[in-house]
Amino acid sequence: MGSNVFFQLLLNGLVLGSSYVLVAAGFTLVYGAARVFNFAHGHFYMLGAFIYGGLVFLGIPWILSLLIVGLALGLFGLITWYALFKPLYSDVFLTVAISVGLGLIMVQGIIVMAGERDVVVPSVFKGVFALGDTTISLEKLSIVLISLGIMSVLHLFLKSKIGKALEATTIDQEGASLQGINTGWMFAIAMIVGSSLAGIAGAVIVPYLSAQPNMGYPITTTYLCIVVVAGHGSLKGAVIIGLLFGLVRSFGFHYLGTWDYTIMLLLVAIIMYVRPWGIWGVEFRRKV
Amino acid sequence: MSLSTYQRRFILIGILLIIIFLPLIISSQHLMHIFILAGLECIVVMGFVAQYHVRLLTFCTATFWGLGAYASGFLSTQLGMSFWVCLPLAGVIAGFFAFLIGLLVIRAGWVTFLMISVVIAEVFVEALGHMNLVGGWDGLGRIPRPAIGSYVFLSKASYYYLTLALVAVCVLIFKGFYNSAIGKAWTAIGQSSDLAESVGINISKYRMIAYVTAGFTSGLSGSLYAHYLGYIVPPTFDIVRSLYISINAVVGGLGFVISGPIIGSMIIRAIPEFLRIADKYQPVFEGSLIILCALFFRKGIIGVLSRLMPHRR
Amino acid sequence: MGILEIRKLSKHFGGLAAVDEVDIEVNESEIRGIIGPNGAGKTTLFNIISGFLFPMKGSVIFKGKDITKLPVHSRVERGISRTFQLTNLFMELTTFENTYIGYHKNYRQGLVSQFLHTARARNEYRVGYQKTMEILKFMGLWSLQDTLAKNLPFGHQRMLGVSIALATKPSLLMLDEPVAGMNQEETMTMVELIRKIRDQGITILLVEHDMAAVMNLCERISVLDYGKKIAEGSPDEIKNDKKVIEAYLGSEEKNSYNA
Repeated sequence: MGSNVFFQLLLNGLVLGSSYVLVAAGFTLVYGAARVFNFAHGHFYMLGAFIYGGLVFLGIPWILSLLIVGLALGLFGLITWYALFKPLYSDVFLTVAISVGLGLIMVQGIIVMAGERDVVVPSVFKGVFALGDTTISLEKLSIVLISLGIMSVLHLFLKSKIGKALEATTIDQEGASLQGINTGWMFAIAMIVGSSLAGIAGAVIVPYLSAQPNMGYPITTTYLCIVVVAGHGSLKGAVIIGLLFGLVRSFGFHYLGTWDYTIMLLLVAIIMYVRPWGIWGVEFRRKV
Repeated sequence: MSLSTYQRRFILIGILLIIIFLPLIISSQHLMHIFILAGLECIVVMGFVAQYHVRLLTFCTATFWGLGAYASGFLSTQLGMSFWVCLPLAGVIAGFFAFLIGLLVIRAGWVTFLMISVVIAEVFVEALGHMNLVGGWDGLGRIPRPAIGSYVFLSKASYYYLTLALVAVCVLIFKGFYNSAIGKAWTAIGQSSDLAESVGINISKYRMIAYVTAGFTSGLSGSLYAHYLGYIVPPTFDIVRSLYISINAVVGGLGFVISGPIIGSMIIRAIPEFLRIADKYQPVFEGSLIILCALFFRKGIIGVLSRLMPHRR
Repeated sequence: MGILEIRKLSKHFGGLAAVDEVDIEVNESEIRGIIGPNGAGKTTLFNIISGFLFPMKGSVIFKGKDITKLPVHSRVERGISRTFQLTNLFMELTTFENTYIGYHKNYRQGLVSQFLHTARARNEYRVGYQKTMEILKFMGLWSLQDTLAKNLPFGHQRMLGVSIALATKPSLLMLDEPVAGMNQEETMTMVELIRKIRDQGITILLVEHDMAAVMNLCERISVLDYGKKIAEGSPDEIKNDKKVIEAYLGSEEKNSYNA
């Protein structure tokens, strides 16, 4: 196998993986801190893709578009939290159910507005550059670098005072509120940041994959697999497994065609058998 | 307005009579079709509610439905088995898969369980699409109509009664469980799983019973579905269908294990008909309905009814 | 050999030893108290014995058999039953239904006959019904049998917890702070009931903070502090034990510094 092919596959894997990491990290934040299973999370990703596509199409520079997407989805997440999740917080299933409803409406809304066909977004970073005897598309490189940047910002954020409060809330809600942390705000912040991440993930990947109203569903499967294997609540795990799955899909698709899914699923099945709470997950604790 | 036991019984008998003589009352074939689909769907919804009852949330109910449909379709078209054999077999096959999956996931927390169900739902459709044995994305067609001797089930009315019979059977199955010690154990698990465990109830075992029963009955329904339509395609049983099933359950009322699914399915099938909502707006309809119910009608339609017309003992 | 034996039981949470090499032997039909300052590891010990937590080291031996690795429901099968520190009931069910569910493990009929409602199954249900009534009368809850658990006054809710545990027909009954939050009268009633339960041949293991109740009720007491057993003996011996006094004083001092 030529090193060229290997390198391309690696790059593709990192591209996919970056997007997976952002989505999975967003979901981990929302579920970990707010304990809300937002079934529309994958559709936030889709929304981010479409908004970004639209903005770029209008000629708005990519960095501004990305920022707008982040803010817009963050706001959307906040509204969703206040209007839908907060009133139902006590009933676990109803929060899931309501996010299901939201997702359905979102997908339909986009289909009505943009049609069901794929929407191809023009590359922002055209061109390639050569490294040794391989050529690297700038588009792909930009995706990986931008994602890296976002994750670094997230990392710094988590080290801040608010970030630490968020982490405390994730580990132990009761304990956190006893320490004086306003858990209500933490939930809202988690939703804002998490939704924002999902939207940015969609925006970032859209030049590579193209936008499609139903793209929320497959990404939901993927991030759920990531979270199950890594253990929900573990951000570190989401990053590692996210990248891993990106590579698995990339190499898997090349060698096995559409059965690349299968490897991912096999990993999930093995984890379920060996360690049902995920690699970095906390053993299911009871409150006795 | 409160109802006495006598009045309740009267209403119930009235409803039962309407249900039994429906084909004579309604002439619209299209409406019959709606009722048949609602009936088949409500069986799957009953399975969903049974699982919800023991605190299992699943979004792959349509997967077991599809398993039954495809199993039955395959057995009848490729192996020439009669519908009457395929039907129970489909149930057994679906139930068996539920058993296998259950072995892996019943011990997991509810979130993981839900997540895996989503994965299963997506994977099922993909897998079917790539299986040329059952027609791949083109679907499985020429599924034979059920027949008894020389009588072949052709009219909508005949399928209506077949569906009714199947619903009755499944109601008996579920009622049988709910009324027994098994049902008591289920209620205990649903109310407080720690307490249930502390009195000796094996949570995993009883959850498994609910899960497999739901799989079995969904398989039965899927089989009839396949033979009624004669032609099935993978996307019919995708995750969106499972989501609709859960919405049916919430609209009917999650606390009501038999009447909830029936009413929920009826309402969700009937309203778009009466409001002339185009097919392509179905997701918006369903989405808005669930948001509405979740925010304002948490106990579903039956819950609203039982508050408006309480039982005067 | 006692009905319950705990050998070198250890459980750590993170770096903290919640239970540290504890040895306890409980004799049949004894009323044994487990006391200690807050955080001494009493409820953790309960959880390990009943199966809600698994120890890192050591074993739990019940009626001569090692049950350390058994799941909760298997231990209940063998005759261990417990109540919870925080009121844990089937809130949406009536007092009667709550207790009736407790009887569940005693049904010998298999799933199929339960489903089919065979004569044998119905017979068992009848026995369960009678037994439930007996327990309700015994616990003084008979008149409240149709009240929803969530509507019961606090004291009665705690009583209901005990009656649910009794319905399993245990050989060992573990009570986690049975009189916590109760007034004088309720406490006395509960203490009397516990004695009567023991008189029926059931071994009682008790975690409690109410010293008067403990001294009054228990025949032997084991004292825990920081996860270790620091004393064991009759109420009189424990009352005067230097280490016990220090442990309780010490924790009081700590509390007053933080106040």
